Amino acid sequence: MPTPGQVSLNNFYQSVRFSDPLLACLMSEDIVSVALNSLALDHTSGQDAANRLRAKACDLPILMCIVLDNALTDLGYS
Amino acid sequence: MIVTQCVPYVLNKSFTLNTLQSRLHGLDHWWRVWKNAQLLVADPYSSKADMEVVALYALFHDSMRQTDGSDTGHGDRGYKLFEQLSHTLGLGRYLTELQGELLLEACVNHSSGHRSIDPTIAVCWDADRLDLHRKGIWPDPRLMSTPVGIDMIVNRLRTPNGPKPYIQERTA
Repeated sequence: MPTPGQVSLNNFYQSVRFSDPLLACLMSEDIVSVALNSLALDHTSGQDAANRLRAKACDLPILMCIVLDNALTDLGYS
Repeated sequence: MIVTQCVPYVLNKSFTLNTLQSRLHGLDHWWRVWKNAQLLVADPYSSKADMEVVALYALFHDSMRQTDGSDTGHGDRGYKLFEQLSHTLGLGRYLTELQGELLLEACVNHSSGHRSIDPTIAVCWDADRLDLHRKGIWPDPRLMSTPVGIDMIVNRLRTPNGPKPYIQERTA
């Protein structure tokens, strides 16, 4: 059963994929890293990827940044 | 929409795109201002905004920047570009006097840090302010004009004071 954070992160990725496929490609590796590390409850290893995701999200409308930040918070990233 | 007739002319004449070649205030920014405005007008308060004017604002407000800094008078120059085009294409037939005045006010004062109680100007300025995050600045809710804009940056975010990579906007 996916957690609310995983569902939000997935919804976020779907939105980026349709609005900006290039950015979605650039973010996908970090999204996978964040998701896998949160599944393993290893937030220390995924924190760098989470920070990179937030920085890349600056190129998106602000509401998508909010969705991303809330998803990362739900997944346990600071 | 009237704005679709204006796009080719602005792409050709815009100082921001052709001379300054700005990424901060160029096409990406104009597009996000329009997307932000569409989010804002989903709220009943902001739904009274005239989206014809908002679309023209998104296209023209930063179209004539000479620098990416404060660049005094760039809003004025953006409106003048609209006036030139309006004269050429005869857009006066499709826009009311009030719409022209709203566009003038929105463009000329958009970088003055003001708030507005007019729904159209409020949506223009909030949509623009909501894109400050591209510069690493998290918008200050005290400078927002619409309730939905304030709600967006205060209540929908669970991280206090914005997500991590941002600094807080300084109030004047």
